[in-house]
Amino acid sequence: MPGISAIGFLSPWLLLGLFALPILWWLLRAVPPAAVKRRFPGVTLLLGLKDPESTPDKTPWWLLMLRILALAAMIVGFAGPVLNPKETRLATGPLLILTDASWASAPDWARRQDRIKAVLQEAGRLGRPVAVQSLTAPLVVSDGLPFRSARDWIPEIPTLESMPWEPDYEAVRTWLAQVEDARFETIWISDGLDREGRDTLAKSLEDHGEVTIVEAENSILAIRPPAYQDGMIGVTLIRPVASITLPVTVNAFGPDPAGIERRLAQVEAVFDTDKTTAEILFDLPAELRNRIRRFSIAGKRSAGAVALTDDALKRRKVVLFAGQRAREGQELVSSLHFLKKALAPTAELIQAPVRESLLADPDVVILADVAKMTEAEATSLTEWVEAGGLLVRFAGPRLAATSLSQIDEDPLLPVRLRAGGRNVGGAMSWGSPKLLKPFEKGSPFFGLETPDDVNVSSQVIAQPDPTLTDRTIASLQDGTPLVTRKSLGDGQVVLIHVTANAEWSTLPLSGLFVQMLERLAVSTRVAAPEAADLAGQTWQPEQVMNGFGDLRSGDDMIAVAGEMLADGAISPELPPGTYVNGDRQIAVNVIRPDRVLTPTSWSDGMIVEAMERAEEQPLKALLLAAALGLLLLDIVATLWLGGRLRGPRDGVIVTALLALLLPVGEARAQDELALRATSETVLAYVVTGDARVDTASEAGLYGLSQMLTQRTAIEPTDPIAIDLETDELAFFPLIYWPISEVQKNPSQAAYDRLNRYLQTGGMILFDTRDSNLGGFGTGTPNGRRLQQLAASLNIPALEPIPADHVLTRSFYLLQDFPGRHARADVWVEAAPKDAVRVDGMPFRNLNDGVSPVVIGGNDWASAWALSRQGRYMYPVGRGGFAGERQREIAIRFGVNLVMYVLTGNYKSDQVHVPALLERLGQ
Amino acid sequence: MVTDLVFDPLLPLSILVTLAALTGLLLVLAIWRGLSGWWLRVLSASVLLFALLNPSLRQEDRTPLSDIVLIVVDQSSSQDIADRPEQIAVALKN
Repeated sequence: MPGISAIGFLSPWLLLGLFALPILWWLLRAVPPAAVKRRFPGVTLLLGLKDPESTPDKTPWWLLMLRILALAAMIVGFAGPVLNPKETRLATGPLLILTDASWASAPDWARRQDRIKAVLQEAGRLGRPVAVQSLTAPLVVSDGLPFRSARDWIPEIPTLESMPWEPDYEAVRTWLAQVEDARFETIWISDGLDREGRDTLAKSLEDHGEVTIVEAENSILAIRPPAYQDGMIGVTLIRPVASITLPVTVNAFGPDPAGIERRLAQVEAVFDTDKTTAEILFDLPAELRNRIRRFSIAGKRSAGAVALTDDALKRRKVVLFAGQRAREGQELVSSLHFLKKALAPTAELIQAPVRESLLADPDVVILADVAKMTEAEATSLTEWVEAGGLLVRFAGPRLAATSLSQIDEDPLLPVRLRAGGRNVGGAMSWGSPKLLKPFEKGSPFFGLETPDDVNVSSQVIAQPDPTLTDRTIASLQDGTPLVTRKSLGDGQVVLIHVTANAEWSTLPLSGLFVQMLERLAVSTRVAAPEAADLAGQTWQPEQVMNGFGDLRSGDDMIAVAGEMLADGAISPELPPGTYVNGDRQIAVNVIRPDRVLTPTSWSDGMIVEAMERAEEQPLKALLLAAALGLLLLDIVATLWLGGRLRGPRDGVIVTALLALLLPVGEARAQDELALRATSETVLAYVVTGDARVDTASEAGLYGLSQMLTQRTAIEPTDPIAIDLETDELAFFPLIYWPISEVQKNPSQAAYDRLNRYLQTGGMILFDTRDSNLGGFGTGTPNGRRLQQLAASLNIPALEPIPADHVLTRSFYLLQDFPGRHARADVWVEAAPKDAVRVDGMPFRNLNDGVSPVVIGGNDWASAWALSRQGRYMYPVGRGGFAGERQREIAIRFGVNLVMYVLTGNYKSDQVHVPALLERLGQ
Repeated sequence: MVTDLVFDPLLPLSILVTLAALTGLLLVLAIWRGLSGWWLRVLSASVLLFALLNPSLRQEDRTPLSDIVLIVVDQSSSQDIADRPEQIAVALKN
């Protein structure tokens, strides 16, 4: 049974050792010998004293438990426990393997083959003769059952194939009857579906010996043939067992306009809990609907999960056109009335003038008593027929009255006509109305019954021609043609020599009329074909399906008789597939429209095994390892209990363990950074990952540090590169952040640190390094990158540096802030709105705040960059004097910036105004 | 008859090595701390580790091939072309 796993032992006798455990318990308690009692008065002196060290008088219970568990694990482990042990069949004698190789076993056919192979291998080891019989393959008839060596059978397993038809258990029983009193064991690999005769077959197998049924979990799904339901295609899915809610995808396949097979539609069906059927509707446009060739359940490789479609799903487009419009109130004598009634359920009717309706690409055009057509109409109709159309014409008074096709054959009529037609059995004529002659072989109507109540009283008469006999496909008892046909190009033209209403004959009133229309492929059938409908015809398989639902061409197959097709019983002679006869097509599906799947229910006492056998899992290693682990634990516990775990050299061990565990290195690196950053003033830059940019940043800040040292009281040491992800930022007054496209977005933690840094007085100098050049539209690539990087930063409102900003006078008096470039604006935090300029003062009173960011694109680092040898690394401007001037201003900007960062708004104080005014005045 | 001892470890070797190292460490600790009965513990642990290695005795019956080799040398004149005589000499020596 699945779900319940079993444990077996390789050497179960060892388990007897478990009985020794209680004795061990008793031994291990290590009870010290009972003390001898002696009265000793001096003991009173000891009373009240506390013993600092206590020794347990017996082993604590949990330690005992630990040891006993370890021992038990060892004993059980050495006994070789195995989870899900494979049962070994120790039986002897011949073995018969039967398999239901039907469509229902196709989805897991490989598993079944594996199972057969496993059984064969086992039988091979035991030297048993085996016979393997697929119940859907021809039953091997030889002298008795074909018992052979198991090894012989193994190479034949791949040739076993699951078939689209189902086993015939009665035939198997007859087959078994030839060996009435032979004894053999049977393994029957069942497909899980109940069929007639299954129980009796099982019983007769039991007469021969033990029977074991192998059955997979029932997951069979099948699809019934599609049918029309209110203009949509209804598909019903069935399953044998009503179990859980199960969603199933159904695909509809068919050729696209280029002829390549594609999935045309997909609908999800859901089996409700406790339901064995699920119905879905495909609501598709007619063009798509007519293309569908098959429906299949996604993911089920089985012939039962494929439903082929045929004419029954097709709706031919039929153009109806009468020569004369029916007058009001004369519905029943309208020349189109009966045609409409006959065709409406199964075809799409188009009633429009011929030329217009041809635009709709119809399959059939029916002209009822149309004699005169314009030249243009005739030409386009001829072209359409030659391209494969079917033109059906009915006669009538107008056709009889014309001189059309009397001397020369009209291309749109199959025969030449005699003027006037004839009347039989009327008041003014001799004879009685004529009956139909039985249809001859070769006629498309062959096999249809000619009822006695169909008679013809008027008709148009064909002129005798050499070709007339060939073209006649139905005639009256006196031999005059009733239906004539000729091919024209790829199409054909059919003339029915009577009217389409009941005026000239009773044909339109009979069921034969509908059958004839169907045989002419004008209409399509509504329901499954009856034997009578198909009688006398042969149908050629167009494509046939194997048990897995794969289709192949049926060209090499023998055509089947219509009666057999109508019966529809799938067998090796009639494999499922589509069968064609002329323009008509019939699908033979594995699942009949009324098919119900019943799960097998084996009688009591039958051995039923699951298909899959759980993998064997030896547990020896696990138990032995556990025993070892428990022993180790016991060592530690014993040491601890004896107070020996903690000794004089404890510290060494603890330190050694800690040293292994703690990632000390990183902490040390952080400390070093903090030390360097805080013991002296230091500038920092963000590492972008772009080596050139980082080199320039390093050299630039080095150059600026040198300049600061030379010119001001600030003496920074070598700049520090910081990694936003790992380094603490709080130590740095100013961080230079060049923007590079290769830089990755910092993590959320890094952004949190950055925001904290900006809020607590840090400053970041963003430099896009491109002077806003080289961009299109919204900005340069670096500019956009800056926007992305800064999106998560708390940056206040910005403005270009105003002329009275502190940066313009914090050390040098400056108005430009060039770097290697000189053009780009430099942005700082916007001044508060209420800052007003007092008359007579050159600056607004901007006492508070240092901008947390300075954003520009002038590539300052490159302008400042100084190699360790004291040379400027990058040229600035056009070189020469102007360039050197620009570099000088760039350095002054750097000095001002650092001053601004370090002194804050000190220079903004109005106290300095007189001194500044004086200098400005110079 | 050739007899040798083959091991087919029940656990992946890396786990076994880790287990053995841990066992060794704790046993050394036990000896160092003077745990009574340490030698019994060493014995049981090594038996368990040995069992986990899953040793088995393999006995093979080998029939030695005959040590007489028949060599046929083509000494026709076609074998005198180019360096064939040397090749034949080398082949014979081997």
